[in-house]
Amino acid sequence: MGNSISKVMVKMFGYREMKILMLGLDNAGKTTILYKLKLNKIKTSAPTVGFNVETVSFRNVKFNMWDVGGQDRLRPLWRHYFPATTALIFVVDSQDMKRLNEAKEELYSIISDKEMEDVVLLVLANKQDLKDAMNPQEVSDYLELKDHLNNQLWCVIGSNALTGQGLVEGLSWITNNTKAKDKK
Amino acid sequence: MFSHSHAIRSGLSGRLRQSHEEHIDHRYNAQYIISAEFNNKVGPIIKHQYPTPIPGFKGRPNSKTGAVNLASLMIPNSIESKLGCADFTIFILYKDKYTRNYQIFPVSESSAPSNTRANLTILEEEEHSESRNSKLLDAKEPPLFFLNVVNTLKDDSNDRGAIIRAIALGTTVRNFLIFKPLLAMTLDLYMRSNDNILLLVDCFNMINSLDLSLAKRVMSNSSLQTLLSSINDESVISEIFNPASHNLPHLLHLNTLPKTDNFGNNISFKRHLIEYQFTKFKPKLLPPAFSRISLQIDMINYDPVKVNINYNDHVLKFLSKFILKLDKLLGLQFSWRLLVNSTKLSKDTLSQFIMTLSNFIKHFDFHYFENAQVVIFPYMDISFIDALKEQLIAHGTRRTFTIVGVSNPIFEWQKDVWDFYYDMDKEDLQCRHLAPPSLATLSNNSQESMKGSKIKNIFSKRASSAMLLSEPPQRYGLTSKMITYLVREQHDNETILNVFKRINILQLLSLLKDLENGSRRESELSLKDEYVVTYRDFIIFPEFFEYGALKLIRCLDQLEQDLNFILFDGKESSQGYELNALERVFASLKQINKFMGSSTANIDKFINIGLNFPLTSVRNGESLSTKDFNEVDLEAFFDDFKVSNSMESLYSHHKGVVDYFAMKRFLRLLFLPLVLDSAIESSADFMDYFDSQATGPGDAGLYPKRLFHSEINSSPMSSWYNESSLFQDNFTDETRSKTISSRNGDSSRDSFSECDYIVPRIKRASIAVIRKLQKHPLGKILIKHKLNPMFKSIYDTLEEDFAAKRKSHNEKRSSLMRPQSSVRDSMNVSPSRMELLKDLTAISQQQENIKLKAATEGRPARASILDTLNRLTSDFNETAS
Repeated sequence: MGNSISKVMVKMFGYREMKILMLGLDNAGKTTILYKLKLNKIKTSAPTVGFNVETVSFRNVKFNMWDVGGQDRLRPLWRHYFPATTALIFVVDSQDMKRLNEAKEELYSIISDKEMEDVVLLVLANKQDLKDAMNPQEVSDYLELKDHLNNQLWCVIGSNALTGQGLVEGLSWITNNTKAKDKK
Repeated sequence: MFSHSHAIRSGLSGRLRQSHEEHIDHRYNAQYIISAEFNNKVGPIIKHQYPTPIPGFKGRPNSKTGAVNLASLMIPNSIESKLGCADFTIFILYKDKYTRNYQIFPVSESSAPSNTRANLTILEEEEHSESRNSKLLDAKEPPLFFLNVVNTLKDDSNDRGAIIRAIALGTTVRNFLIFKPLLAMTLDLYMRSNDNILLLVDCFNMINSLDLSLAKRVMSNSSLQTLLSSINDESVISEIFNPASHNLPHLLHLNTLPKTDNFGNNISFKRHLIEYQFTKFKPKLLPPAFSRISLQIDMINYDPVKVNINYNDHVLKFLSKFILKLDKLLGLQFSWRLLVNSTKLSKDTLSQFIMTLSNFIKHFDFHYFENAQVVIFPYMDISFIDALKEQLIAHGTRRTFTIVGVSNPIFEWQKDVWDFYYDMDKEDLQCRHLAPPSLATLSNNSQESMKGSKIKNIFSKRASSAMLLSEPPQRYGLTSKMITYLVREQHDNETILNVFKRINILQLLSLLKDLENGSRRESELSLKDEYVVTYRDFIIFPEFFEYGALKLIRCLDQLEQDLNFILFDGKESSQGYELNALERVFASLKQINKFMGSSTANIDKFINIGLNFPLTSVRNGESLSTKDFNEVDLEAFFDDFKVSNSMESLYSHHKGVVDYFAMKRFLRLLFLPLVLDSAIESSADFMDYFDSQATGPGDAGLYPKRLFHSEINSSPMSSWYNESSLFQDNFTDETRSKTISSRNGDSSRDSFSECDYIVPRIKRASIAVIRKLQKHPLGKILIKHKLNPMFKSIYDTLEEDFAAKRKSHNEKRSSLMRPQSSVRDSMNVSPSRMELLKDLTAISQQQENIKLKAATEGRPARASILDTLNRLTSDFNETAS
């Protein structure tokens, strides 16, 4: 019954599908975020070998979310996942300040790619629950997005994958800012 | 002091003198063992390589070289999601003989052989029967197959909560799957031992401690293997491998079956398995229980590279879709790049699926297509995509066939590396009709460019996006049609392969006929390539394209047609031949006899072709390259055969379409000539019957139908194939001696004298063939178990009769050369022969009635004898298993 109603709603209000690419350094919490959104469960017991892909429905949008492993040797492979991406979620471990610069370099490397110049960028400052974690504003300042991304929509949101804090907010921001850019 | 050269020491004699330690050091069974792990910070890395780093992959884990890539093949995508479940992948390394380095793609052939008519008409015979790899890519080194086992174990001491490790064994042994249990158990220990390389060394040495030379010899005997794999009959297999019988040693050319290898490791034979025990190896770190594991090697090679998946699960479903799409590809520009993706199935299944497909095109034994590059990649990670693109670009001008297995849907976006994308999980096949880059160059061929230009224009408009092809109507070739029945009836892999072999022979016969009729345009392709392009049904058995095999196939086909004509309602196939049907039967049997007599391997080949000799009536006079079987109900079609007046009416006890199609038909071809009878064949009554039925040019009606001679003197082969008179035998004067006389004078009398002359010769030729067959251990078993007992009885009687005649012949040689008015009058007959003659006389007495009946029904009276023969053995089934 509920399913039928949602189908009708989708027809009435339009139905969208988009590809979301979730990247970030290893151990940033990408897979935890993915399965928290998908299953509302914590499902991480090993690092991601390669990728995970899941479909997450939110409002009237079907997100095809790709979570790609962030280890050093896997990062050169990120570019193969760029085609047809609508939004990039870049996940940062807010507590791992030693590697924040490394994360910043990787982020700029991604968004400087021609295939990614039109995507909207959501930075999730993850692990906000941890002591000494940088807040979203601090992460944003460190990344200097304001100075370098004049032609691209971007946003930094604090998140905690274990509780789900900030995740729906992030998807909502993407939904609201990709109406003209979504891929059928 | 003598010092042996390295060549001698490494040869067989040197090998026999080796100590066990030397034998282990020589690494005959496995060449490398390597391990990899998923590093939480770096990703997949190679940890250990033993006994030396693999040339070409010596890079340290920290460097961005091939070492990392190899680890990506060992730690496959999503393996972390299956805690505690081991999975397997396969990868292949090829050695460049100049650089001595291994590489992940096949070594390009810089000096590829020229594709000329002279040297590529048909495949050359094998010089030696025990040379499986003789045609394998010329002087190239055999590829190194790596069987990799990988697992993820929960580990609280690890900062990411789990460890992911893999070990891979590199070997040239084709049935490397035998090492699976040993590797999986070693990995388990290795993962719990904190990377102790000594465990790998122990495992590696243990595998190399066995002397597998016997098993390797059996596996590499290609003629024996093709023969064994064609049997597909449990009773025959049991008999061959029955330890109580002497068949197996005979087949393996051994006095007795060995109980140990050269170093005292126990060997036992269990049905068609050779079981090796690690009796002599004392592991240093591996638990003693490991040495109690046995290596079981199947002596029957159904697949060039051993796989253990059921074709019904995924393979047939894929083929049913793929072959239909292949049929839509452009003719001479035929090439394809296939990508197979599965994220749900195990990597083991995926890898073996790809290996199965490579087995169908016989990639590791033959060139699927001359001068084409073929890439087989059982499991590929996205990190190899650039290397794959480079590989394809590097050979841009060459025809390309690729089969790549992946476990990542992102490959679907890499549209420049595939023409076909198959999703195993959804069983969905996408097809891109892009003209490959190489086609521009390939269109040097004027015919190609003429045909291709228009079609290329059509497809170039769609070049930017993948698309699903429009739905049926599509032409169903014979392979596609039979696959629908194979899927429906659910048969084992062996039966499926045997069906494909029969289709191969049928289509080959049809192709030869097309070429003979000139209905196909001339091309510069070899016969095998012509076949591949014509049928585009993916599966090929190159052993049928060898010169001798082709000749034999045609010979058996002709024999069947002639026997159907003489004994049943078959059509006369006199067109193009100088000889009449009886003479052709004689010529065919002589040719078979000659072929079998030339070598032992030829008897293997003959039996193999015989076992796979197909239901030729399927052709029904039509070309199989254009015939659409979509609307054909093969079940009804076959039912018609069973009640027709042909050989097919002899045995009709097979229920399913596949069983009937895969029935073994060749023994009756060899034994039916024994029921020919001079008196019956030339009886005036029958002549009258045939006279009234005879049709043909000129005064054909004056002659008995079966003895009519065509005036057309053309080769059995046409097109360019007849330039070298490929399949024409010079029939001796002996064969033709009576041919002329049948044209003059009273036809009945001359026909009778001709029959009287040729029929005993046919029988002798038939008996000679059967004798040779009986000397072969498998032939003997087939005759013992699979021959209609009535045939056996007739054969025994005639054999006895001919033996008596031979004796008499020595005494009265000249008198036996005279035509005899009645064979029976001058024969010394044994009691059993007398009994049989009584039976035949009784049958003959009834023939008046049967004749009249047959005439009204349009059936020759001779069929009644065979009907009787069949009734006598109605419960007998040639292929009952």
